[in-house]
Amino acid sequence: MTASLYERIGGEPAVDAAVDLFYRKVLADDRISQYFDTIDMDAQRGKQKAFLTFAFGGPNQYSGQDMRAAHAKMNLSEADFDAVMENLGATLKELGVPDDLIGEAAGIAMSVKGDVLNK
Amino acid sequence: MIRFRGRSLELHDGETVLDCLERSGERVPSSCRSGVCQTCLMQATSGEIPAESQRGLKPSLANRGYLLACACRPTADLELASGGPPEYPSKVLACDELAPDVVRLFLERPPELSFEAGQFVQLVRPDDGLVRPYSLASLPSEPMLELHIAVRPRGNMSRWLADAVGEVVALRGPLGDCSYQCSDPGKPLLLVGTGTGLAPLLGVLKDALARGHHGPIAVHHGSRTFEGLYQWQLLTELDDAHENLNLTGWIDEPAAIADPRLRMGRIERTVVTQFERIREADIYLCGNPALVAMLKKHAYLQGASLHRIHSDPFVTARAAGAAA
Repeated sequence: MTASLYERIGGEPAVDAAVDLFYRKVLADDRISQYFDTIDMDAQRGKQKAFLTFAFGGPNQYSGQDMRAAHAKMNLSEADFDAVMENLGATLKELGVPDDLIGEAAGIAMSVKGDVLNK
Repeated sequence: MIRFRGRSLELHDGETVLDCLERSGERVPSSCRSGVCQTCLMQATSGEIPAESQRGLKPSLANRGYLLACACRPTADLELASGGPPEYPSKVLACDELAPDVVRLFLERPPELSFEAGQFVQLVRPDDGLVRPYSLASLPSEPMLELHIAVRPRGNMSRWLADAVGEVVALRGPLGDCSYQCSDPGKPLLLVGTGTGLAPLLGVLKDALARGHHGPIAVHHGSRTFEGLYQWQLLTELDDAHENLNLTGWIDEPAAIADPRLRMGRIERTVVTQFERIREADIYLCGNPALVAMLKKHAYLQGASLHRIHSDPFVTARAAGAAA
């Protein structure tokens, strides 16, 4: 039996290594940083960690409904979603995650696109 | 078994505290249910706290028995606080004016109130139960509690407090984690505040100096006018007495005195971005919420850990609403 993506990518230590890198990239990204101007940063970091755990195929109860409700009033565009995906890819590359695993994680993250964009 | 709001609740096998409370009809705010978002933060008052329910919490919270209900599977009995912090009566002993719109209040220190300088209390007015948060500027070793009150022209509580000597109020708390973390006396400290946001910073500063902190300490206090830097005299005395202290006052209007430590203008992001060793620093940001949010973001982007950024408790308290 092959190990899960979560195990192959390095489990919770990998998430911990990735979360600040990822959240800093998102905050510093002029295309999307304005969405984060008024939020509670501590809570948001927690949500970013939950998102990464989800994208890594980890133990999580992140549901499409949660994603839909959380982003419902934000009126996000494809470009916004793509910007987050780009930052996710760049984060994993920087951490030396192999391309095929990055692809798998991106695939999982893509699965919530419809919910995030409220489509 | 867990005890909560006078009820004893039996846990199913492997059930979390959050699941058990919800199954029993109790309402607990929650969000991620995976031990991550910290929405379901609760405080245990007795019992054994499973280590995994405190993962990721700031040490200041973990030390006071806080846990995440969604990640908590108790192996022994656990008693949970029903939300409200303890309440103590306290008499207003003295009041003096520090600036045209700032008064300093000295209150009797309730013997059971154990706190750290910089934390805050909810002050309850006896007649109508009106509540406002105020930071503690005094050290636990001082005989009285010291609060700084910004007196607003239409401030229901602040105008009453300015004339409340002799009244007995109730204090709830202490709350917040805006206090000196004495893990390493050599690390840098960055303290930035506007207006009466100075109160918790002063508490932290006095505590750090009293405990022999020898790492660099930068203090920035901002106000529209020089009079608004209402503890300038005290701050300059501390600055003169401590080699490792670096004081800057920020004002919009020219001051009547010349002091190289005064700068014209609003506090800028450079106080964070040009601070050496920001990644290792403990950072305290208090006062104007927009300024606090802006500086917090830049500190984080510079590599500071969110665990080390202690921001104005009132912003947090307001964001958490009546949940606390």
